[in-house]
Amino acid sequence: MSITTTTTSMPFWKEYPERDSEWVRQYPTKHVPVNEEEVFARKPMGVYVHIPFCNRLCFSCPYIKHQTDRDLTRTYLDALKTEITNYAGRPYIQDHVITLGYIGGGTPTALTAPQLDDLLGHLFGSLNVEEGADFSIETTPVDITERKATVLLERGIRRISLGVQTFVPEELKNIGRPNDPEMLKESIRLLRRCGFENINIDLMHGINGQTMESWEHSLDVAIDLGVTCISFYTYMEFAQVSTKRRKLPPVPEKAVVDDMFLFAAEKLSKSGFLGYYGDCFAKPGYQPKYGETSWSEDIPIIPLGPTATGHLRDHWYFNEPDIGRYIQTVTEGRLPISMGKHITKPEAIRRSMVLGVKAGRVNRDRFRRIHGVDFMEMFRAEIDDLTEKGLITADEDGIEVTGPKGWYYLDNISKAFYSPEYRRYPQHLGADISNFISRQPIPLQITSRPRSEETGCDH
Amino acid sequence: MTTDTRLLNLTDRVPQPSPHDDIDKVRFYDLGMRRSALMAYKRPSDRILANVRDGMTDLVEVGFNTGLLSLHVAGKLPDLAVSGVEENQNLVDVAEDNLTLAVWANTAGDVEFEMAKLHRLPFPDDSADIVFSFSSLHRWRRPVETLRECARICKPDGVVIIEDMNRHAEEGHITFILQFVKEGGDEFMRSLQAAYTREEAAELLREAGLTDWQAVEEDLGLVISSRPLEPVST
Repeated sequence: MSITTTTTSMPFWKEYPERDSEWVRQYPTKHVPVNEEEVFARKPMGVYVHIPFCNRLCFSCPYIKHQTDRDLTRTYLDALKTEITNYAGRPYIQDHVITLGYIGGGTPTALTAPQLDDLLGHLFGSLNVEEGADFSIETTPVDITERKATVLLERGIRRISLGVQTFVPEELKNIGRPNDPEMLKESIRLLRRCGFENINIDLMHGINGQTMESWEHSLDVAIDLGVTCISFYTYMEFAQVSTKRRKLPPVPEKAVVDDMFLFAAEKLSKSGFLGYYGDCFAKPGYQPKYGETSWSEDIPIIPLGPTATGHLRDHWYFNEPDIGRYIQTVTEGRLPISMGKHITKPEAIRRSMVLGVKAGRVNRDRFRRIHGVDFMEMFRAEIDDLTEKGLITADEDGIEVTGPKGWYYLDNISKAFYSPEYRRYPQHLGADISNFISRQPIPLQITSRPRSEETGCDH
Repeated sequence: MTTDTRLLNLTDRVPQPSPHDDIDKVRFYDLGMRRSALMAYKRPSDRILANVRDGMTDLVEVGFNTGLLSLHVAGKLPDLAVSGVEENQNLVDVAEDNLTLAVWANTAGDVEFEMAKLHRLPFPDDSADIVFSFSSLHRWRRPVETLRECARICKPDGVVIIEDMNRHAEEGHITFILQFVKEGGDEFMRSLQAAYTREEAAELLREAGLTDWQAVEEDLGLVISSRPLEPVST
């Protein structure tokens, strides 16, 4: 064996077997100027608040929600405030500053204006929320009022998202919504009058009776209203359990629904919107930081409320889904953490890829700065495969999802970066399976399904 | 092929001890099925309807739970008689309630439910055109004898179709379904723990001497049939 020494001229650096004279006690070296502000800087953090109440429950919504009930809402809000207080008292949380947040549900504005005022006052007063933090809230044209809008703005909410779904009266009726498009438009004007600059509209494609022409009409109205963000989601038709729903016109064929996606993506791009998450579009500068930054930059998120999902201290987790058990756990002084997963370093890198791709692009330098690795090399095979399929483009700066084809397949692209262990496992919607988790790891052979000629009983 | 670890405790079969022993729990289960799991009935219903031929007169459901599938199928086939048997009094009571409501709502169909031992079906030999069962096999006390009974009452040119869950279905599929059954998750998982694998179903068929029958895995389910079946769309 030969030892090569390249630093013979440095008196403090000797290669073994020669004994070094410097007594090592610090690392890293290569020092640069540092000041007090940098040493004590608080790291960014986000918060997600789940309000599980709606004044009107929609049959196509899979999220945990309850009909608004005065007593339950009051008890729930007390528990939620206690949960906020519990988090706020923890040193780890105090070392961070909240720079972004999202209040979803349910319908957060199913709460009354005084309840919203009280909750937001407690949230912003208990946690270290940065001045001008990027906070979004969800609402509906029916639930929003001038009084509530004013409270939200005064408390620091900057972006508001309205579930409009469609501007066609018949389609509104078919999904069980109040069917006056003028009322929907008026809610946008109201928000603008109150001072909201960043307004998002949620639309749906694939709903009963919808045609390509009516879909274009809804998009045109949304664009003409001058909102800053437009998102569109595919309607999920669940079991038609009511006799009324059986009489509805059918949902469009899947091929038509797919065409609607591509049509909307192209139309919104041509109208000056930039795409993110595949089906969300924002005018330049109006994309919410929640999601984009928190996912791709690995910013921790505090989850508040039942089924809220968070990402703290190397764990991804979600809260107790049952509202009764949630209230009880919080009242007992514990955090209502239910199920989740420890995120190892290799998985943290994959997580940044999986979620970073959702924003449409992953920057090589930024990724290297955060994780210390070159994802272009690490995931060379996956990137080459996706490039060959025309779903992404790659250059020295990183990767970019090609629109609109890649946006349509954004979730497929994202899943290409899952580690083998997590492939073909779904994300959660609030099911607690802790009672049924295998106690001992048992080797599992994952095999392909038997071919049809092999599936019979072999005798 | 990948080696991995299983997430869920489903390696060994755990028979359900006295399921449906409380009428309120049965009503809760029934309500859950009516509200959110109707989609689960779509494929079994389509499969039964796909096997109906001209000249058929009688269908039998073995282990009808709360009668929803029989009522649904009978509504689609008003000219055929559908008879169901179940051996749990609470299930029979709730099914009777459902039947009363169906009659009150003027639903088409000729349905009859009765209580009987599943291993001693109260029907003559070669009397049913289609013998079907859905989500019941995992509760059968004497599965081998019940399979023989299904074969006995089925006409020579008829068909037996038995569907249940597959305990060794892909875990991703199971956890996906769990997201939607919500508060019925415990019930779903206990049923799944009591369900058979394809290999175990094949063993039951061997013991019953039904060596020319089929046992096929299908997504979350297991389909046992007296002859090969055409695939139905999901």
